[in-house]
Amino acid sequence: MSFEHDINDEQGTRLVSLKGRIDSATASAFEQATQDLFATPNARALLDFSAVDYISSAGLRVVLMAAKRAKQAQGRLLLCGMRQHVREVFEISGFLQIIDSVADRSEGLRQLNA
Amino acid sequence: MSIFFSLFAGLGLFFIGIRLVSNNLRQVIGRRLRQLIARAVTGAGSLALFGLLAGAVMQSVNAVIHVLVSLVTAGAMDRKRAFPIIRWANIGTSLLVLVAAIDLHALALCLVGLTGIAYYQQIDQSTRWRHAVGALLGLGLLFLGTDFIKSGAALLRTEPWLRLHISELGLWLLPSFAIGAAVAWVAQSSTTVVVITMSLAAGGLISWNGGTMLVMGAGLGSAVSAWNLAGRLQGSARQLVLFQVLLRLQGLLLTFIFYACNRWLLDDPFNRLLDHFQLGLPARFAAFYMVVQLLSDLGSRTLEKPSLRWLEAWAAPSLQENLSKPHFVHDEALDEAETALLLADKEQQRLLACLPAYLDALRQDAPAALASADKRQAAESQVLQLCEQFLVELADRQRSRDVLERSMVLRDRNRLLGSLQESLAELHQSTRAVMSDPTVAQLLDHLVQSLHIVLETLAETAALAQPDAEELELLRSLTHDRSDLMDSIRRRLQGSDLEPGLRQAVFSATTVFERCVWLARRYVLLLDGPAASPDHPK
Repeated sequence: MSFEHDINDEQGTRLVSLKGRIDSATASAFEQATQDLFATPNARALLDFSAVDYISSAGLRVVLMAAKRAKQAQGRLLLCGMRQHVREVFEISGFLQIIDSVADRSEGLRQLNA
Repeated sequence: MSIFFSLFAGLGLFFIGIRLVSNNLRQVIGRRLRQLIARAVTGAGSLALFGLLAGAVMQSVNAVIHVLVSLVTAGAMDRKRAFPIIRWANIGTSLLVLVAAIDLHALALCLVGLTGIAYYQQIDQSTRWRHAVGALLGLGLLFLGTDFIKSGAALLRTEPWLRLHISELGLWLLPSFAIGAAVAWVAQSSTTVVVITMSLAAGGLISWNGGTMLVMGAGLGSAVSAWNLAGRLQGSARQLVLFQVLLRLQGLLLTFIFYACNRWLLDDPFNRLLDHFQLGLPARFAAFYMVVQLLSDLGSRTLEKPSLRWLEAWAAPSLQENLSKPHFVHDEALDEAETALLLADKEQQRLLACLPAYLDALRQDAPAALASADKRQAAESQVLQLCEQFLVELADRQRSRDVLERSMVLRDRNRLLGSLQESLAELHQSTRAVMSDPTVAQLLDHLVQSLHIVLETLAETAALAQPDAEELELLRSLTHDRSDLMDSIRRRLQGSDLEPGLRQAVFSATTVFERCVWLARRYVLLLDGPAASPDHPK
């Protein structure tokens, strides 16, 4: 299964819509998508996982790198729309202790623009 | 008939002895002994002496090679140092022919008697001495086996049917050559053939031409018996055995040229030279055997470089062998405490970075696993053992408080690494079979992928020159206690209609996962410790 992404600006927030499978074969494309999210200080980004079917450790690694960059840029990263089985990976890996997540896109945008 | 029983029992004792010596020597070689041997065989002179003595005492190059294989695989000797020892051991075996024969009978009986008393006194039950006793018993049985073979071979001389056929050996060169090869192959020793040939010559049973063919055939038999050993070995061990095969074949080729020139091109100058010393036929065979050995040595030395290249290509060290070798710690570094601590730290960083690879066989998107988790664990735990011995030795030598404290932290890390290796091998063992079952595959994959990213992040942070507070805080968060989460997963499964075997596998996987994360957290806490000096990068 392939991986697709789409980046839009919504109310001053970079919204990254992810779709498909994120594993070692597609992680580089995912990394490119997140590379410049925090190029400017205080940037905000929302990663929408609602159409993601699978994420492996290679994908988790990209999310972790993005979270580190957000911290360095004093920005804010939020995850949203994770399906139950994707959420379980984030939970077991301990990522939900270090990265905030919300139920859906509108909630995410609301929190980031608050 | 008793002759054959004697030969058969001798071979059996020889093989048991070889196995006992090899297995126990590997265990008995502690750090100090390995250092002593390593120091004893550093120079070319000591290598030659070691090889000569080993060949002379053991009377079999194959037996010497077995000991060398034990030393090389236990990390006590570099395989490049073992090659000249094999060459000298070949010469060593021929020294025995020159002094007719050393009687190992008494020594073998003494060794068996001594080890018997040790067994009676239950010294073999002691952790400290059991492998030493086992190695001595092995040596005794090895000698006893060799002695049985020699006794059987000596009795052969008295058989009338053999006398009848042996008298024809001088006429039939090829059969003589084949018999020499066959006996050396069965006896695992070319010197045995030479001693028999000398005995036959002393009894007037054999001519010069027939005897030389027997001696040359023994060279081929010795090569074949070494080749048989090579089939069961891999990597460096296989290289050592193949080196002996090459040495014998190179020697055989040169001996044929020597024999042909001496007999057909020139007017037998070799025997005319021996005439000057008024040597009898048995002594002439001993001299001829020395020539065979020296030509083998010459051929091996001349073709050493291409031979070693060929061996490296044909019997490259196995992956497991490579995994079981330390990359950084080495004895010479112990003299300088700062360097020693740095190297131990680097070795641990390397082993930590290898931990994610234990999960490769369980990950859907991983490249093909280079080695299975249990093989990797078996190999890399050896490096941890060496690292532990290295740190203990360092603490013994350096009494400064700073060094002691830092070596203690590194030893704690070592233990955590060992536990992580074992736990990951256990996870692989318990989940491998059920990983593809659709009812549990997703949950197991989540555990594996999660553990993989935790271990990768831990290794990356540990490799940083100076992990900052934020990095360490992030790691502490990633390795927070998972017992509640794992409990909730287990409770969820308890109420499901999952097949008991699958449920057990998943329960076991959650327990091991929980343990691995706990171990990783303890490792993170030690990254804050004093293992690296403030002014020295980690």
